[in-house]
Parts: sequence; structure tokens; C-alpha cells
Amino acid sequence: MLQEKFRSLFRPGQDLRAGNGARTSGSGVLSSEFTRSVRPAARSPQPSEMDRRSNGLRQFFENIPRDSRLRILDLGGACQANINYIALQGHRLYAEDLLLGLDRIGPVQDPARRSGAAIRFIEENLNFASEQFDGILVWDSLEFLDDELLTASVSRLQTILKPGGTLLAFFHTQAKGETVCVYRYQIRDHQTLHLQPRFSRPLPRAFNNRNLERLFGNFRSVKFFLAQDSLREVIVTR
Amino acid sequence: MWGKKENTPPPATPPRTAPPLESPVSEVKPVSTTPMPKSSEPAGAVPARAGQAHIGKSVIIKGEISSSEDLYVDGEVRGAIELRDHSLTVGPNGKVDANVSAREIIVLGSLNGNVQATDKIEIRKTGSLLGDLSTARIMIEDGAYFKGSIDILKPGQKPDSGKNAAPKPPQASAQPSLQMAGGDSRKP
Repeated sequence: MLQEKFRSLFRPGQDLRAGNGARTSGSGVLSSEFTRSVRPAARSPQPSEMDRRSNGLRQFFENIPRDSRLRILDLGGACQANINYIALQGHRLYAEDLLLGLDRIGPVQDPARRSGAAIRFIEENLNFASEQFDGILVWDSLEFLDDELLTASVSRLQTILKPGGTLLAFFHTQAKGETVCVYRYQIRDHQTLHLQPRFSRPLPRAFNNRNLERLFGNFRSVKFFLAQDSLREVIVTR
Repeated sequence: MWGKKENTPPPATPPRTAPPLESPVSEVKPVSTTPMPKSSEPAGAVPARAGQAHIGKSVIIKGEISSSEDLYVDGEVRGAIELRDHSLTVGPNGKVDANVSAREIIVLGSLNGNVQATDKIEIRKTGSLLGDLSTARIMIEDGAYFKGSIDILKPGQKPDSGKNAAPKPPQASAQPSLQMAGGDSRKP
């Protein structure tokens, strides 16, 4: 029966040398059914650059004052697109790459050293004066920090944000341990982002609305936007 | 036609003699510290131009530099650089720990300090800049590292005093000192 099925995949007279199952000799052509059956399993597509509408970004720009000369902190690292959009509007843009700072510290296995590592991380990457910023663009940097760093960072972000200031953060909805793509978020316009893949990283924890509300519990308000691409956008106001 | 060949003497062969003694005093040829253009220079590198002051990669300068011509730094400078209407290029080997004021600043190496450029600042992909920037235009290539603040100046606008600015580099000593680790910083 198997032989019959195998023969039926080929036209009569064809050479049955199949090698890896996907080739024939001469001018023979495998039937499409056989080709499909022996085609290697499709790999998950590599993340690619793409544009993405962001309701969180739109809300962020609606929340910040209309005046010029605001101070905006971008924690995703400096990129030309964000400089063009924010600084050319007359605002002062501060750039910091939080994930790069995290990589510089590296994983801290010893629990006794974690608080010291957290202090060093804050000093190196969030060393700003109190109530300095009208807006902070965190993107997805926070979700890759361990518990100690996460708590310390959110506390510092609250300190350096002005009263009434707005913070935008992204959190994946995948489960703990799942690998997600980390993007560079480039602002196209007030509600559109261009996503540029940087690297992939496993999520150290899962986030849901409840634990995010607890995380930002000391802020005045927390608002969620959930998009189809499993990215939860969070607008936090001090 | 078949005339006698004249008895021409064979060509004289120089007698074998010992090679002449070298003069005990050899001529010293000046060596330029200006690096020769290399094909292995990184792509997009800005070569030193004629008419541009050049600080070679083995040179360390502590103090203030002011110049009325373009400056190319491929060594180390700690202190302050004032170029007014000229350009500063920090070469791929350059390390500048200084506040800088110039018309145009191009960074291929490392610059740590507050920077004011009346025209533009470029951070190339091999470059790293830490500090507060104040300029009319800025270009950051993919791969470049920047940490600090960016203030885009509109025409006629003066830079802020820089409240809560990024940490400033250490102050240079009052007496400028010139340390020559090798070569010098002569103009080409």
C-alpha cells in the first residue's frame, strides 16, 4: 500500500531517484503532492522591520503639554528618527539605552549582590535629577529586568518624572520564558512606530494587568492598550 | 660590405672592488607623524585633510586647545577644545574628554563632554559620544552610541545653560601640559 502511494506521486516513466526526496533526474518533475509532503517544515519567519500603529504613543503625545522646550527621555537608545521627531519639535531629548546598560551589568546570580547591582544600574543609566522630565518613553526595556532592578527602576522613573508627566511602556503578553523579539522603536508620526529588530530574548516573567497596576501603584493613573500583536501598551501618569 | 672588423677592444669591465664604505654620518630623514592613507581604513573614515591641524594617535594633550583652523584628533585630548568657526574630527583612534565648541563636529572615535556646534554634529557608526549636545543639525548613524541630551537650536537661538546636564568630564589642570608619548602634533 505504501509502495502504491509512493508510485502514485510520480508520473509514469519518471526516474524514481529522489535523493532527499525533492529532486529528480533529467527533466522529470515530481508531482506537487510529493513536493509538498517532503518539503522541509517551514521555519517561523524571522522578525522583520515593520510599521505599527500605536494608541499608546498617540495618548503619550496627547498627554504631554503643548508647549515647546519639554524634556523627553527615550530609554530605547538614540536613533535618528526619534531625534528628528522630538528634538526638531523644539523639545530637549535625552537618550539612554536601558537594555545596553542591563547587558553591561550582566546577570547577577548571587542574591546578596543584587541590591548593589541595582544601585549601580540606576546610577549608570537613570542618573537624572528629580522631576526633570515631562515624558519618558520606556518602550519594552522594563520587562527584561529582574525583580530587584525592576522595582528600583520604576521607583526612579517616578522620581524623575514631573508631576503630571507621562510614561509609555510596552509589555509582551507572552508567558514567562518565551522568547520575544526586542525592537528599536522609531517614531514615524504621533501614532505610528517603525519597529527595527535588535535581538531576541526570553521573558523573565509574565505580565498581566493586575501585576502592572501593582508595579505602577505609586503613580496617579495606569491605562492599558492591548493590540493584536500581543504587545500591551501602558500609559502611566504621575 | 665584409670589411674588416676593426679590432675594437673589449668593453672594459669594471674591476671588482670592495663596496664603498658607508659614510659614518648618515643622513637623518625627517619622519612625519601624519598617518599615511591606508586602504585598511574603516569605510566612511574621514581622512585628515591638508590645511588641517592633526593630533596623531600617540599624542596625549591635557589642557585647552583653541584653534582658528580645522582640527583632526586621533590621539587623546583632555580639557577643552574651542574651534569657533571650524570643524573638529575625532578620528577612529581619538579619545576626547573635553567640552567642545566648534562649527561642525564629526565623531568616529570617542568623545566625552558637552558639545556645542553651530552647524552640525555627526556621530558615525564607530563613534561614541557621551554628553549634552547643542546644535542646529545632528546625524547619528546606525550602530553609533550616544548618551546624553540633544538640543536642536533654531536660527538665532542660543544654547541653554544646561540644567541637570549629564555629568561633566574631570576638569583639566590650570597649567596646560603637553605630553609627547611619541611623534609630535606638527601640522603636516
